Amino acid sequence: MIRFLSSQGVRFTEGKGQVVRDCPGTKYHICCGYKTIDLIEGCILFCSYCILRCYLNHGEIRVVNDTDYVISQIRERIRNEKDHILRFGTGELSDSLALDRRLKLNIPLVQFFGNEKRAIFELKSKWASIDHLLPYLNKYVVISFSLAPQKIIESEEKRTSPLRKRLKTLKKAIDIGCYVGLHFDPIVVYPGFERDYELMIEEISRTIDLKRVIWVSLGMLRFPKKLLDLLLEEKRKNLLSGEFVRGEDGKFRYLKKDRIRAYKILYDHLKEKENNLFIYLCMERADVWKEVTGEELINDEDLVRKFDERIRFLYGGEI
Amino acid sequence: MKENGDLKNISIERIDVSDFEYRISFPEDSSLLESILEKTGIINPILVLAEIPYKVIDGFRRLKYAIRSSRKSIPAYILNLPPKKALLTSILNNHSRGLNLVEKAIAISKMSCIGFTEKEIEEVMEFVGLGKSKKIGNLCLKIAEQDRRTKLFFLNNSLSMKTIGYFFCLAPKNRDLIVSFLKDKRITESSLRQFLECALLWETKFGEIPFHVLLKVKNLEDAISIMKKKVSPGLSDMEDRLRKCLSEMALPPNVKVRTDPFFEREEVRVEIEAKRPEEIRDVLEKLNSALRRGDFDKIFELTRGKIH
Repeated sequence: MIRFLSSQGVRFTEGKGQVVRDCPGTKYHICCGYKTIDLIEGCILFCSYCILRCYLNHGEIRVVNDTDYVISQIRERIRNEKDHILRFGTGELSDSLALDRRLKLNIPLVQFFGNEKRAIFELKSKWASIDHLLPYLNKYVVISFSLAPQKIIESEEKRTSPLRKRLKTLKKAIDIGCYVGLHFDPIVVYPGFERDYELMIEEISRTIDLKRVIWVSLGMLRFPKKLLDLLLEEKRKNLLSGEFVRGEDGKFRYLKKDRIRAYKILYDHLKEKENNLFIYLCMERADVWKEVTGEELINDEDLVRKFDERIRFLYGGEI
Repeated sequence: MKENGDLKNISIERIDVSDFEYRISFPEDSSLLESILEKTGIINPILVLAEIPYKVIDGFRRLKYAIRSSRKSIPAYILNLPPKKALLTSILNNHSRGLNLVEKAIAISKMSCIGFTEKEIEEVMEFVGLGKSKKIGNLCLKIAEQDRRTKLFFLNNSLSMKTIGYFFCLAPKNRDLIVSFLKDKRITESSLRQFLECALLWETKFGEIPFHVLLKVKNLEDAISIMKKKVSPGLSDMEDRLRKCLSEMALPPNVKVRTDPFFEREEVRVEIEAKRPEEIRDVLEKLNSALRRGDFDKIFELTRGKIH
């Protein structure tokens, strides 16, 4: 009997249309103005909560191997930007590092940003492999990892590097002079999550120098209806342990009071470790920002300005 | 196609009446069809394969009627077809009278059993109006595997593929219990979907669904409300607090005070419907006293997520 199966393979494509784009953001939530480079579409890590499971309707991994085309678009964006220091990343439609040791797509981009010295290039990943990039890394490249308690990594991010390995890789990046980023995203609420996240923050502060962390993002687990259906189908107990409601943008999020509580727990632990950490909330409402950080942000522009200040503070006149 | 076959009156004794290889009609009986046949007799010949005993391709219900009414023979086209063509013929003939969801699923399942390629199956799926997604294909296989009672449950409630998809996410034991539980309840597609969503969340979070409690309720809405309280305790608590606040305010029925249903927006809506200026004056006085008592502060607290 035939079962209806889908398959996945890697397909190389020429650069076409806009590869460099503004992060789409989401209605009624504050966005940081990130620029995404869609170098790869699709991911081999298959995290259970990943939004790509709903967004990409092709079963393959599409790779743009026309680097000159991509770089020309990045250059144009940087040249046209008069007000802000742009931040670019390849981790929106894929993991920045998972396939990179094999495909070596990041090397020319890393070199470009090092020469340009006018913008930041972030490699955001859950795959702790940067050795092939070490000879090329420079201070305009930020190595970032999504971080989660090992329990969540084992149940929901099965194909990714363990937490300890991610932290060791961050240390390696710091040792050669890079700033690093920490992304607590998605934060998952389950019985005992408070203790697990506290222990994880302890471990992070023991392993890396928090003064070399350029930014920390906090983002609660959120997903469209289609992904909720998949999570229900797969009976993801950890992910569905909290209580979700449909937000104004149509995505499912934890109840506002639960989000505020979880953010505050992490925010306070992190600030306790290093008071100067730059912590931002990813795709959150202005009222939640205020409740958690005490800061009043009116719109996206306010957050983008905060990023500018942070980068200028760390880089001085070198950017 | 029929032109290629011989039209004969064949003896029912020479038909293998226990063979259902090409049967896709569901339910197997149709009282409506039988009552028409009572009046008209069997005008449309059935289709059988040219082998002895004859295998029926199309016309199972007509054959059943003929047997019940003690006929000795039935008009039939005798066709010489390979199995794949025979099944397609059956699907095509049944499609012309309109296939229900279970029949479509049975057709797809039968095709996958006798070696049609995925592409050929997708073509038929599209032809019968199922689209060609793999997910729907897999759902069809599952629907066709169900027992008669479950198939009838899908059919009698005219469930969509989406709702049936939810149903199949539940553990098999719970599916059976749900079919029994809903047997004599009035249900709509949307209430059933809500119920199944709650049941799935319950199963994921706590395991066993408390059917012993649900069996005591009279209608589906009450069952949904019981389950919601358990799977969404925070939201239910906030809804209760809002209800309490509103009842304490004791506003006249021409005033509506609303928040967004999930307390995301930091906003309270007050609507006044009035036919005379005095009505507005009265309402404003009542709203003013509610403001002074701090009733609105309590509602705003709910929208700010400050309740723990």
